[in-house]
Amino acid sequence: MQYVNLYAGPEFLMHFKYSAMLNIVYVTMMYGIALPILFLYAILGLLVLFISEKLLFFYTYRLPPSYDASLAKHVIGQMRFAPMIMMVFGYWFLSSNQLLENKIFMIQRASDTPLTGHTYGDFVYADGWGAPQWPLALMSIFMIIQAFFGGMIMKCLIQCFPSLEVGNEELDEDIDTYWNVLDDGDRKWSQSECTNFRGYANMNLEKFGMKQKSKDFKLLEEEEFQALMDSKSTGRTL
Amino acid sequence: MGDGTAGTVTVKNQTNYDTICDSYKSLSNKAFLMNESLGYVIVGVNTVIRTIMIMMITWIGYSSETVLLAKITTFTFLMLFFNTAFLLMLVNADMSEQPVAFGFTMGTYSDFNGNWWKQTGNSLISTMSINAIFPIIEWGMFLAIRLFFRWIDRGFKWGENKEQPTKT
Repeated sequence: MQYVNLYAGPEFLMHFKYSAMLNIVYVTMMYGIALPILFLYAILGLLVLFISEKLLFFYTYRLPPSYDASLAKHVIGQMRFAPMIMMVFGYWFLSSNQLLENKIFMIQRASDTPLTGHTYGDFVYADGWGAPQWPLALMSIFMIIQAFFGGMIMKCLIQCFPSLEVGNEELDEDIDTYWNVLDDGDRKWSQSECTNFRGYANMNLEKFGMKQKSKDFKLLEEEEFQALMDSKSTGRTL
Repeated sequence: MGDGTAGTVTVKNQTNYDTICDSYKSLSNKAFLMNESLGYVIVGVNTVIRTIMIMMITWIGYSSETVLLAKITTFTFLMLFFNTAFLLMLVNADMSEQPVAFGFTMGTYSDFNGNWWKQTGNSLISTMSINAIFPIIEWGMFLAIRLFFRWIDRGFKWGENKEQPTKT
Protein backbone atom coordinates (compact mmCIF):
# COMPACT_ATOMS: atom_id res chain seq x y z
CA MET A 1 0.00 0.00 0.00
CA GLN A 2 2.89 2.33 0.80
CA TYR A 3 4.34 1.58 -2.64
CA VAL A 4 1.01 2.33 -4.33
CA ASN A 5 0.66 5.61 -2.46
CA LEU A 6 4.15 6.62 -3.48
CA TYR A 7 3.69 5.97 -7.19
CA ALA A 8 0.01 6.90 -7.57
CA GLY A 9 -1.15 10.42 -8.29
CA PRO A 10 -2.42 12.82 -5.62
CA GLU A 11 -6.01 12.78 -4.38
CA PHE A 12 -8.53 15.13 -5.92
CA LEU A 13 -9.38 17.61 -3.14
CA MET A 14 -12.46 19.29 -4.49
CA HIS A 15 -13.10 21.38 -1.36
CA PHE A 16 -9.54 22.73 -1.53
CA LYS A 17 -10.19 24.14 -5.00
CA TYR A 18 -13.70 25.34 -4.27
CA SER A 19 -12.49 27.44 -1.33
CA ALA A 20 -9.76 28.97 -3.53
CA MET A 21 -12.36 29.81 -6.18
CA LEU A 22 -14.66 31.41 -3.64
CA ASN A 23 -11.75 33.42 -2.28
CA ILE A 24 -10.84 34.75 -5.74
CA VAL A 25 -14.45 35.70 -6.47
CA TYR A 26 -15.08 37.40 -3.13
CA VAL A 27 -11.81 39.38 -2.99
CA THR A 28 -12.37 40.56 -6.57
CA MET A 29 -15.94 41.57 -5.86
CA MET A 30 -14.92 43.36 -2.68
CA TYR A 31 -12.18 45.56 -4.13
CA GLY A 32 -12.98 45.29 -7.86
CA ILE A 33 -14.71 48.63 -8.22
CA ALA A 34 -11.65 50.51 -6.96
CA LEU A 35 -9.08 48.07 -8.39
CA PRO A 36 -10.56 46.95 -11.75
CA ILE A 37 -7.39 45.04 -12.60
CA LEU A 38 -8.55 42.46 -10.05
CA PHE A 39 -11.21 41.34 -12.52
CA LEU A 40 -8.48 40.46 -15.03
CA TYR A 41 -6.55 38.58 -12.37
CA ALA A 42 -9.73 36.78 -11.34
CA ILE A 43 -10.40 35.70 -14.94
CA LEU A 44 -6.79 34.55 -15.26
CA GLY A 45 -6.94 32.74 -11.91
CA LEU A 46 -10.19 30.92 -12.71
CA LEU A 47 -8.93 30.04 -16.21
CA VAL A 48 -5.66 28.66 -14.87
CA LEU A 49 -7.57 26.71 -12.22
CA PHE A 50 -10.00 25.33 -14.81
CA ILE A 51 -7.32 24.24 -17.28
CA SER A 52 -4.90 22.85 -14.69
CA GLU A 53 -7.64 20.95 -12.84
CA LYS A 54 -9.01 19.55 -16.07
CA LEU A 55 -5.59 18.28 -17.10
CA LEU A 56 -4.73 16.97 -13.66
CA PHE A 57 -8.11 15.33 -13.34
CA PHE A 58 -7.59 13.32 -16.53
CA TYR A 59 -3.88 12.58 -16.26
CA THR A 60 -2.73 12.77 -12.65
CA TYR A 61 -5.37 12.54 -9.93
CA ARG A 62 -6.58 9.26 -8.54
CA LEU A 63 -10.16 8.38 -9.40
CA PRO A 64 -12.29 10.40 -6.95
CA PRO A 65 -15.45 9.09 -5.28
CA SER A 66 -18.72 9.80 -7.09
CA TYR A 67 -19.76 13.16 -5.67
CA ASP A 68 -23.30 14.33 -6.18
CA ALA A 69 -24.29 17.90 -7.03
CA SER A 70 -24.88 19.00 -3.43
CA LEU A 71 -21.37 20.45 -2.89
CA ALA A 72 -21.54 22.40 -6.16
CA LYS A 73 -24.97 23.72 -5.16
CA HIS A 74 -23.63 24.65 -1.73
CA VAL A 75 -20.78 26.65 -3.29
CA ILE A 76 -23.14 28.39 -5.74
CA GLY A 77 -25.36 29.23 -2.75
CA GLN A 78 -22.42 30.81 -0.96
CA MET A 79 -21.59 32.96 -3.96
CA ARG A 80 -24.88 34.82 -3.65
CA PHE A 81 -23.38 37.18 -1.06
CA ALA A 82 -20.54 38.29 -3.36
CA PRO A 83 -22.60 40.86 -5.35
CA MET A 84 -23.90 42.27 -2.06
CA ILE A 85 -20.32 42.83 -0.84
CA MET A 86 -19.50 44.41 -4.20
CA MET A 87 -22.37 46.89 -3.89
CA VAL A 88 -21.60 47.83 -0.27
CA PHE A 89 -17.86 48.33 -0.81
CA GLY A 90 -18.48 49.90 -4.23
CA TYR A 91 -20.74 52.45 -2.59
CA TRP A 92 -18.01 53.24 -0.06
CA PHE A 93 -15.32 53.63 -2.73
CA LEU A 94 -17.44 55.79 -5.02
CA SER A 95 -18.52 58.07 -2.18
CA SER A 96 -14.89 58.67 -1.12
CA ASN A 97 -13.90 62.33 -1.12
CA GLN A 98 -10.39 61.62 -2.30
CA LEU A 99 -10.89 58.91 -4.90
CA LEU A 100 -13.19 60.82 -7.25
CA GLU A 101 -13.43 64.39 -5.94
CA ASN A 102 -9.79 64.86 -4.94
CA LYS A 103 -10.71 66.53 -1.63
CA ILE A 104 -7.83 66.21 0.81
CA PHE A 105 -7.88 67.28 4.44
CA MET A 106 -4.58 68.76 5.66
CA ILE A 107 -2.74 67.35 8.67
CA GLN A 108 -0.70 69.23 11.27
CA ARG A 109 1.98 66.60 11.89
CA ALA A 110 3.33 63.79 9.76
CA SER A 111 2.23 61.29 12.39
CA ASP A 112 -1.38 62.49 12.37
CA THR A 113 -4.03 60.27 10.83
CA PRO A 114 -5.59 62.31 8.04
CA LEU A 115 -9.30 62.99 8.34
CA THR A 116 -11.41 62.23 5.32
CA GLY A 117 -14.84 63.71 5.99
CA HIS A 118 -16.20 60.37 4.78
CA THR A 119 -18.31 58.51 7.32
CA TYR A 120 -20.89 55.79 7.02
CA GLY A 121 -23.28 58.14 8.80
CA ASP A 122 -23.50 60.07 5.49
CA PHE A 123 -25.69 57.27 4.23
CA VAL A 124 -28.70 58.69 6.04
CA TYR A 125 -28.12 62.21 4.69
CA ALA A 126 -28.57 63.63 1.21
CA ASP A 127 -24.76 63.85 0.80
CA GLY A 128 -24.52 60.08 0.79
CA TRP A 129 -26.96 59.77 -2.10
CA GLY A 130 -25.18 61.78 -4.76
CA ALA A 131 -23.93 60.45 -8.09
CA PRO A 132 -22.27 58.11 -8.90
CA GLN A 133 -22.74 56.19 -5.69
CA TRP A 134 -26.52 56.22 -5.26
CA PRO A 135 -27.33 53.24 -7.55
CA LEU A 136 -24.93 51.13 -5.54
CA ALA A 137 -26.52 52.31 -2.26
CA LEU A 138 -29.95 51.36 -3.59
CA MET A 139 -28.76 47.96 -4.79
CA SER A 140 -27.02 47.38 -1.44
CA ILE A 141 -30.30 47.92 0.39
CA PHE A 142 -32.20 45.58 -1.95
CA MET A 143 -29.53 42.89 -1.74
CA ILE A 144 -29.21 43.06 2.05
CA ILE A 145 -32.98 42.80 2.44
CA GLN A 146 -33.08 39.94 -0.04
CA ALA A 147 -30.19 38.09 1.62
CA PHE A 148 -31.46 38.32 5.19
CA PHE A 149 -35.24 38.60 4.81
CA GLY A 150 -35.77 37.08 1.35
CA GLY A 151 -37.07 33.79 2.73
CA MET A 152 -39.50 35.51 5.06
CA ILE A 153 -40.79 37.87 2.34
CA MET A 154 -41.28 34.94 -0.05
CA LYS A 155 -43.29 33.05 2.57
CA CYS A 156 -45.57 36.07 3.04
CA LEU A 157 -46.00 36.40 -0.75
CA ILE A 158 -46.87 32.73 -1.05
CA GLN A 159 -49.49 33.17 1.68
CA CYS A 160 -51.04 35.94 -0.40
CA PHE A 161 -50.50 34.34 -3.84
CA PRO A 162 -50.31 30.53 -3.50
CA SER A 163 -49.59 30.08 -7.21
CA LEU A 164 -46.09 31.57 -6.64
CA GLU A 165 -44.99 28.44 -4.83
CA VAL A 166 -42.68 26.25 -6.87
CA GLY A 167 -43.18 22.79 -5.50
CA ASN A 168 -42.19 19.37 -6.73
CA GLU A 169 -44.01 18.36 -9.90
CA GLU A 170 -46.23 15.35 -9.27
CA LEU A 171 -46.75 13.08 -12.25
CA ASP A 172 -50.38 12.25 -12.95
CA GLU A 173 -50.02 9.15 -15.07
CA ASP A 174 -53.59 7.98 -14.74
CA ILE A 175 -54.84 9.99 -17.71
CA ASP A 176 -55.98 9.19 -21.24
CA THR A 177 -54.17 10.01 -24.51
CA TYR A 178 -53.35 13.63 -25.32
CA TRP A 179 -56.22 14.27 -27.74
CA ASN A 180 -58.77 12.72 -25.38
CA VAL A 181 -57.80 14.86 -22.39
CA LEU A 182 -58.07 18.16 -24.26
CA ASP A 183 -61.06 20.19 -23.24
CA ASP A 184 -63.74 20.74 -25.86
CA GLY A 185 -62.54 24.22 -26.83
CA ASP A 186 -58.94 23.11 -27.41
CA ARG A 187 -60.02 20.01 -29.32
CA LYS A 188 -62.30 21.99 -31.65
CA TRP A 189 -59.55 24.57 -32.21
CA SER A 190 -56.98 21.84 -33.05
CA GLN A 191 -59.40 20.05 -35.39
CA SER A 192 -60.31 23.30 -37.17
CA GLU A 193 -56.67 24.35 -37.56
CA CYS A 194 -55.66 21.01 -39.07
CA THR A 195 -58.70 20.80 -41.39
CA ASN A 196 -58.33 24.40 -42.49
CA PHE A 197 -54.63 23.97 -43.27
CA ARG A 198 -55.31 20.80 -45.26
CA GLY A 199 -57.81 22.85 -47.33
CA TYR A 200 -54.89 24.82 -48.82
CA ALA A 201 -53.98 21.70 -50.80
CA ASN A 202 -56.86 22.57 -53.20
CA MET A 203 -55.56 26.08 -53.73
CA ASN A 204 -54.13 27.06 -57.13
CA LEU A 205 -50.42 27.31 -56.37
CA GLU A 206 -49.44 28.09 -59.96
CA LYS A 207 -50.56 31.68 -59.62
CA PHE A 208 -47.85 32.02 -56.95
CA GLY A 209 -45.25 30.59 -59.33
CA MET A 210 -45.25 27.17 -57.66
CA LYS A 211 -46.08 23.76 -59.03
CA GLN A 212 -49.40 22.27 -58.04
CA LYS A 213 -49.06 19.68 -55.22
CA SER A 214 -45.43 20.70 -54.68
CA LYS A 215 -46.23 21.51 -51.06
CA ASP A 216 -47.62 19.24 -48.40
CA PHE A 217 -50.30 21.00 -46.39
CA LYS A 218 -50.42 18.76 -43.35
CA LEU A 219 -49.97 19.86 -39.78
CA LEU A 220 -50.26 16.24 -38.63
CA GLU A 221 -49.58 12.93 -40.31
CA GLU A 222 -52.61 10.92 -41.45
CA GLU A 223 -52.68 8.61 -38.43
CA GLU A 224 -52.39 11.47 -35.91
CA PHE A 225 -54.94 13.52 -37.79
CA GLN A 226 -57.40 10.64 -37.66
CA ALA A 227 -56.76 10.22 -33.91
CA LEU A 228 -57.50 13.89 -33.41
CA MET A 229 -60.71 13.78 -35.43
CA ASP A 230 -61.92 10.62 -33.63
CA SER A 231 -61.00 11.86 -30.15
CA LYS A 232 -63.69 12.49 -27.54
CA SER A 233 -63.63 13.72 -24.00
CA THR A 234 -63.38 11.06 -21.28
CA GLY A 235 -64.16 13.40 -18.41
CA ARG A 236 -60.61 14.21 -17.23
CA THR A 237 -58.86 17.05 -18.98
CA LEU A 238 -55.41 18.59 -18.76
CA MET B 1 55.68 72.11 14.44
CA GLY B 2 58.71 71.86 12.33
CA ASP B 3 57.80 68.43 11.00
CA GLY B 4 55.80 69.74 8.10
CA THR B 5 52.34 68.87 9.46
CA ALA B 6 51.48 72.34 10.48
CA GLY B 7 47.99 73.43 9.37
CA THR B 8 46.52 69.91 8.99
CA VAL B 9 43.83 68.54 11.26
CA THR B 10 43.84 64.88 12.17
CA VAL B 11 40.46 63.54 13.28
CA LYS B 12 40.81 61.08 16.12
CA ASN B 13 38.24 58.29 16.77
CA GLN B 14 36.76 58.69 13.31
CA THR B 15 33.28 57.16 13.06
CA ASN B 16 31.45 56.29 9.82
CA TYR B 17 28.24 58.31 10.04
CA ASP B 18 25.40 57.37 7.68
CA THR B 19 24.25 60.16 5.49
CA ILE B 20 20.54 60.98 5.29
CA CYS B 21 20.47 59.43 1.83
CA ASP B 22 21.95 56.18 3.15
CA SER B 23 19.31 55.96 5.86
CA TYR B 24 16.57 56.75 3.37
CA LYS B 25 17.89 54.17 0.91
CA SER B 26 18.13 51.52 3.59
CA LEU B 27 14.60 52.16 4.86
CA SER B 28 13.26 52.37 1.33
CA ASN B 29 14.84 49.02 0.41
CA LYS B 30 13.43 47.40 3.54
CA ALA B 31 9.97 48.78 2.83
CA PHE B 32 10.16 47.62 -0.80
CA LEU B 33 11.27 44.14 0.26
CA MET B 34 8.54 43.84 2.88
CA ASN B 35 5.87 45.12 0.54
CA GLU B 36 6.92 42.82 -2.29
CA SER B 37 7.19 39.77 -0.07
CA LEU B 38 3.82 40.39 1.60
CA GLY B 39 1.93 38.89 -1.34
CA TYR B 40 3.99 35.70 -1.22
CA VAL B 41 3.63 35.54 2.59
CA ILE B 42 -0.17 35.83 2.36
CA VAL B 43 -0.39 33.08 -0.29
CA GLY B 44 1.92 30.88 1.80
CA VAL B 45 -0.06 31.47 5.00
CA ASN B 46 -3.28 30.79 3.07
CA THR B 47 -1.97 27.38 2.01
CA VAL B 48 -1.03 26.55 5.61
CA ILE B 49 -4.45 27.74 6.85
CA ARG B 50 -6.23 25.62 4.25
CA THR B 51 -4.30 22.51 5.24
CA ILE B 52 -4.86 23.07 8.97
CA MET B 53 -8.57 23.75 8.48
CA ILE B 54 -9.01 20.58 6.44
CA MET B 55 -7.19 18.54 9.12
CA MET B 56 -9.20 20.08 11.96
CA ILE B 57 -12.62 19.67 10.35
CA THR B 58 -11.77 16.11 9.27
CA TRP B 59 -10.76 15.43 12.88
CA ILE B 60 -14.08 16.81 14.18
CA GLY B 61 -15.96 14.52 11.76
CA TYR B 62 -19.46 14.85 10.35
CA SER B 63 -22.31 12.44 9.68
CA SER B 64 -21.74 12.24 5.94
CA GLU B 65 -18.94 12.92 3.46
CA THR B 66 -21.03 15.59 1.71
CA VAL B 67 -21.60 17.57 4.91
CA LEU B 68 -17.92 17.24 5.77
CA LEU B 69 -16.84 18.62 2.37
CA ALA B 70 -19.37 21.45 2.59
CA LYS B 71 -18.11 22.44 6.06
CA ILE B 72 -14.47 22.29 4.96
CA THR B 73 -15.23 24.43 1.90
CA THR B 74 -17.12 27.04 3.94
CA PHE B 75 -14.68 27.41 6.83
CA THR B 76 -11.58 27.26 4.67
CA PHE B 77 -13.03 29.94 2.42
CA LEU B 78 -13.94 32.16 5.38
CA MET B 79 -10.41 31.90 6.78
CA LEU B 80 -8.82 32.60 3.38
CA PHE B 81 -11.10 35.53 2.73
CA PHE B 82 -10.44 37.02 6.15
CA ASN B 83 -6.69 36.59 5.75
CA THR B 84 -6.58 38.00 2.21
CA ALA B 85 -9.14 40.78 2.22
CA PHE B 86 -9.93 41.84 5.78
CA LEU B 87 -6.81 41.36 7.87
CA LEU B 88 -4.67 43.98 6.11
CA MET B 89 -7.58 46.39 6.12
CA LEU B 90 -8.41 45.97 9.80
CA VAL B 91 -4.87 46.08 11.23
CA ASN B 92 -4.25 49.40 9.49
CA ALA B 93 -7.65 50.91 10.25
CA ASP B 94 -8.25 54.02 12.31
CA MET B 95 -12.00 54.45 12.43
CA SER B 96 -12.01 57.15 15.10
CA GLU B 97 -13.65 59.53 12.61
CA GLN B 98 -16.62 57.19 12.17
CA PRO B 99 -19.76 57.37 14.36
CA VAL B 100 -18.87 54.00 15.95
CA ALA B 101 -15.22 52.90 15.74
CA PHE B 102 -15.69 49.25 16.82
CA GLY B 103 -12.33 49.49 18.61
CA PHE B 104 -10.31 50.06 15.43
CA THR B 105 -8.44 53.19 16.41
CA MET B 106 -4.81 52.09 16.44
CA GLY B 107 -4.12 52.02 12.70
CA THR B 108 -2.84 54.64 10.32
CA TYR B 109 -5.56 54.79 7.68
CA SER B 110 -8.90 56.41 8.36
CA ASP B 111 -10.20 55.57 4.89
CA PHE B 112 -9.16 54.00 1.59
CA ASN B 113 -6.93 56.94 0.74
CA GLY B 114 -3.99 57.32 -1.64
CA ASN B 115 -1.51 55.84 0.82
CA TRP B 116 -3.76 52.87 1.51
CA TRP B 117 -3.97 52.04 -2.19
CA LYS B 118 -0.23 52.51 -2.59
CA GLN B 119 0.63 50.15 0.23
CA THR B 120 -2.19 47.71 0.93
CA GLY B 121 -3.75 47.95 -2.52
CA ASN B 122 -0.44 47.00 -4.11
CA SER B 123 -0.07 44.05 -1.75
CA LEU B 124 -3.58 42.95 -2.61
CA ILE B 125 -2.90 43.05 -6.34
CA SER B 126 0.37 41.23 -5.80
CA THR B 127 -1.43 38.55 -3.75
CA MET B 128 -4.12 38.10 -6.37
CA SER B 129 -1.61 37.88 -9.20
CA ILE B 130 0.29 35.15 -7.32
CA ASN B 131 -3.04 33.49 -6.52
CA ALA B 132 -3.83 33.41 -10.23
CA ILE B 133 -0.79 31.33 -11.11
CA PHE B 134 -0.61 29.48 -7.80
CA PRO B 135 -2.28 26.27 -9.10
CA ILE B 136 0.70 25.84 -11.46
CA ILE B 137 3.24 26.57 -8.69
CA GLU B 138 1.38 24.22 -6.34
CA TRP B 139 1.35 21.47 -8.96
CA GLY B 140 5.10 21.85 -9.53
CA MET B 141 5.76 21.88 -5.79
CA PHE B 142 3.81 18.70 -5.07
CA LEU B 143 5.27 16.98 -8.14
CA ALA B 144 8.77 17.79 -6.88
CA ILE B 145 7.92 16.35 -3.44
CA ARG B 146 6.54 13.16 -4.97
CA LEU B 147 9.51 12.78 -7.29
CA PHE B 148 11.85 13.31 -4.36
CA PHE B 149 10.27 10.49 -2.34
CA ARG B 150 10.28 8.21 -5.41
CA TRP B 151 13.94 9.02 -5.90
CA ILE B 152 14.64 8.00 -2.30
CA ASP B 153 12.57 4.84 -2.79
CA ARG B 154 14.70 3.89 -5.83
CA GLY B 155 17.85 4.11 -3.81
CA PHE B 156 18.75 7.67 -4.90
CA LYS B 157 18.67 6.71 -8.59
CA TRP B 158 16.56 7.83 -11.52
CA GLY B 159 14.90 5.41 -13.92
CA GLU B 160 14.27 1.73 -13.35
CA ASN B 161 16.38 -0.24 -10.92
CA LYS B 162 18.49 -2.40 -13.24
CA GLU B 163 20.25 -4.34 -10.52
CA GLN B 164 20.04 -8.07 -11.10
CA PRO B 165 18.33 -10.01 -8.36
CA THR B 166 20.81 -11.90 -6.21
CA LYS B 167 20.87 -15.59 -7.04
CA THR B 168 20.98 -17.90 -4.09
